[in-house]
Parts: sequence; C-alpha cells; structure tokens
Amino acid sequence: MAHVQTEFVKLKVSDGTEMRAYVSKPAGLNPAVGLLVFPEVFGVNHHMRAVTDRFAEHGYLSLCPEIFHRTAPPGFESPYDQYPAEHTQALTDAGLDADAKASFDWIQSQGAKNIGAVGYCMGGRVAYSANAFLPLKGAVSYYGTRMLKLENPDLPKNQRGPLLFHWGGLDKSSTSEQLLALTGALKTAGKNFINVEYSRADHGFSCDERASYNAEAAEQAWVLTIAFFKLHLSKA
Amino acid sequence: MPVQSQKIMLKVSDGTEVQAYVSKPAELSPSVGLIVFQEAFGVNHHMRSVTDRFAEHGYLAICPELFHRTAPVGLELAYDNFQAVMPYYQALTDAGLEADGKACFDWLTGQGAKNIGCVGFCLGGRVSFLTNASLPYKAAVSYYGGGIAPTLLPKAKDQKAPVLFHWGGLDKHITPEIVKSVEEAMKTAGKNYISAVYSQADHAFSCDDRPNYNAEAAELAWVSTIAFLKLHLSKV
Repeated sequence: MAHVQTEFVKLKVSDGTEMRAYVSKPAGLNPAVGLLVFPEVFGVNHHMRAVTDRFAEHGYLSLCPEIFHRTAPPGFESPYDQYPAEHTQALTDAGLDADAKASFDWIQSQGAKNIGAVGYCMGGRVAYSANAFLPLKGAVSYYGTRMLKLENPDLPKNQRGPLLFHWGGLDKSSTSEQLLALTGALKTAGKNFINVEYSRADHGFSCDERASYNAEAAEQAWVLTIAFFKLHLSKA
Repeated sequence: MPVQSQKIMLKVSDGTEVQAYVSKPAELSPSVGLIVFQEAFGVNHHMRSVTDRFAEHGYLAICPELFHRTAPVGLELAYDNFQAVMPYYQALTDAGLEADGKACFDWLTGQGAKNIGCVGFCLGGRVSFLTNASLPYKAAVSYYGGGIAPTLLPKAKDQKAPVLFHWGGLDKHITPEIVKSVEEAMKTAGKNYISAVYSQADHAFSCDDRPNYNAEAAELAWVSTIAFLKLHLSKV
C-alpha cells in the first residue's frame, strides 16, 4: 500500500462560502485518478479521515469536504449518539451540489483526469446528486437512503457515471418500495448501476466506530467498491 | 497457481454414477473445497475453465455432470441449441440434484476438505440454492439461478450457509419481481444473504463463451464471489 500524505485545504465555493476539506494522497506525484469522499452526518471525523486515507493508499487523490461548513465551525465533529439535526436541517440541495462542484474542481486542478465519488449515509445521497451534473467516472453510495426522498425526477435520468449502491437489509431509513422506485427509475433511464443488499447489515454498517458495524458486509462492500473504481476510473 | 485436472466417476446414492471434472491446485489447501454447478449446456470448456479458475485460487473444485442419468458421459451442448438441452433439463429431479450434490460434498470431505462451498451458474445457480438447503456448506453462490422462484422459495427457510446472489438486470427470465421474491423469502426467513443486481447485464453474463457476456459485470461479480468464499470458507 502506498504511503499517504494528508493536509487540510480551504476551498472557495460558488456561493461565496469557504469550505475546509481533508485531503489524502499517495506520497509522491499527484495521481491521474481522484476521489471525492462524501462524509456521514457526524463530520469529517477520525473515521472519515481513515476512510479517505484508505482510498489514498489504493492510489487515489482523495478529498473529504466538510459539508456543514455554512453552519458549523471548521473541524466540526459530532459523536455518533448525537444526531446534529441543526446542521442537517440547514443543508440545501443547491449548497450540497456547490460543495460537490468545489471539491471536484479542486481535485481536477491537481491533475486528476478520472474522478469518482463515494459517499456514506448523507454522503451517499451527495454522491448520487453529484453524479447527475459532474462528469464522474463512477459513483458509489453506502446506505445513502436520503436519496430515496429526493423529489427531482431528473436525477435518475441525468446520472452520468456508473453507480454502485450498497444497502443494509436491516436499514429502517428506507423501504423496499422506495428502493424499487429508485432502481426502477434508473432502469427505465437505461443507466448502468449495481444494486447490492446485505441482509444482515444495518445503516452505517461500514463504519467500524459505530454500533452498526458489520465486518463481513463492510469487507464485501469494500472489495466491490475498490474493484468498481479500478474498472471505471482506469479508463483512458 | 497451476492446477491439475482430471475426470472422476462418483457413486451416487441412487445407484447411478456421475462423472465430474476435478481441478486441484498445485498448492492444495486441503481444508477448502468447492462444488461448481454447471449451466444447462454440460460440463463444457467454459465450465471446466471456471472450475480451473477456482482451483487457481486454492480451492479443490469439482464440477459434476448433472445430466448423467439421461445423457452420455461428457455430453456438451451448443449454446444456441436449447432444444437439444430440453429433454435432459426436464428429466432433472430435485432429489437427483441433491444426491449429486451430496456425492460431490462427500467426495470433497473424503479428500480432507472441512469448509465446502458451492458456486452455480444458471441451472447451477438453482442447484446451489437447492443443495444449500440440505448440505452443510459454508457458503453458496448463485449466478442468475432461474427456477428458484417460485418453486424453491419454501427452501429459503432451510438455507444453511450465507448466500451470494448475482442477477442480471436485463434477464427476461428472471425479472426484478422474481429477484424481489427470492430476497423477500430469504429476508422473512432471517437468512444471511447478499443480493447483487447488475443493471446492464443479461442472463449468463459471466460466461465469456456466450453472447450475453458482460465483461464488467463478470469481473465485479467474480471479485465479490472470491471475497465471499474467502470470508466464509476460511472460518475455523
């Protein structure tokens, strides 16, 4: 595995705000492949930084933006048993899209040609909406169940890069009807997606610092995610 | 790693004999074994190479000729001649398939395998599910298993090992509703499964000798399968 170098960068967002982001890159030259890592609702915390580092170890210039930057101070983290409702409720679709674009533009400015996105929980929803307007080569969502409530009917048909969805079968924040509606819409739109359900996993199953961690599902999902990015982000 | 292959004859509990293709890794890890269940076209070049591929990953792998009660030894059928397949296919019985699975399972056990799994394709995908209800596998993998729903759904509650299902989103014989019915049956029975749908893949997408071959889906499904088998067959 490559050794990684990490830093925090400040990105200018199109609405005039500034957003801090955690960057992890393989030591040495900036690679041609980049990854946007969209975080859960608990901030760019130790776990999200570790995830970002893990992707960098696999050769991706990886960036994890602080999506609460308009309402929370830089470096905001919330414990897993304290849902930061005041910040999640302040999020807007436009704000999240602007944050995704700022992140994408930064990665691109560093020389990355093939850029993908992976998001966890809220971040999964961000990866999905970002894939509707950014030229991502692939987008992965881990239990991004908020996407199931998005009302914009153009989102499925505007999806650009191939998608990979990981869902926990025990996740109460989604219903099978909602999942069928999403995959049905994507299928109707002729989109390339892989939809995976892990029956014994719950929301947050990939986070080894959360109670819902499921090591088997996390390992399976990880292997598939890495293979998915290798396949799609390696294309010339 | 290099493999050695041979054909062997096994005695089956109903008094018949079944020829099976066996592929053994040069560095044999005797404690893991795999039964590979064929598609509807016989243990042909493709099935032998799949069996070899698993052996290259360290599994003692065996692929039995499921049509042995009605077909000559070594029968292979052309992919575009499903008419020729039909009489052999229709002559299959669940009892016969279970007995064939058991003969292979017992043979692997006799060779020293302690952790045994199965991987089946198409017809074989159904056989994986069927035999997972009676044999103490550690893992069962089913690629586009037609005929699991509706007739085998009562066996969902008897599934022993975790199951990994791969489905092609374009499969006209295995529709999203059918996939959902399998998932629901497994869920109701509280079983451990992963269900993955590849939206742009059709039935038999993993077979590189057939027109429906989808290299991307095949590669990702393969990676998942290998990780799944490693996870579950490595357990003490």
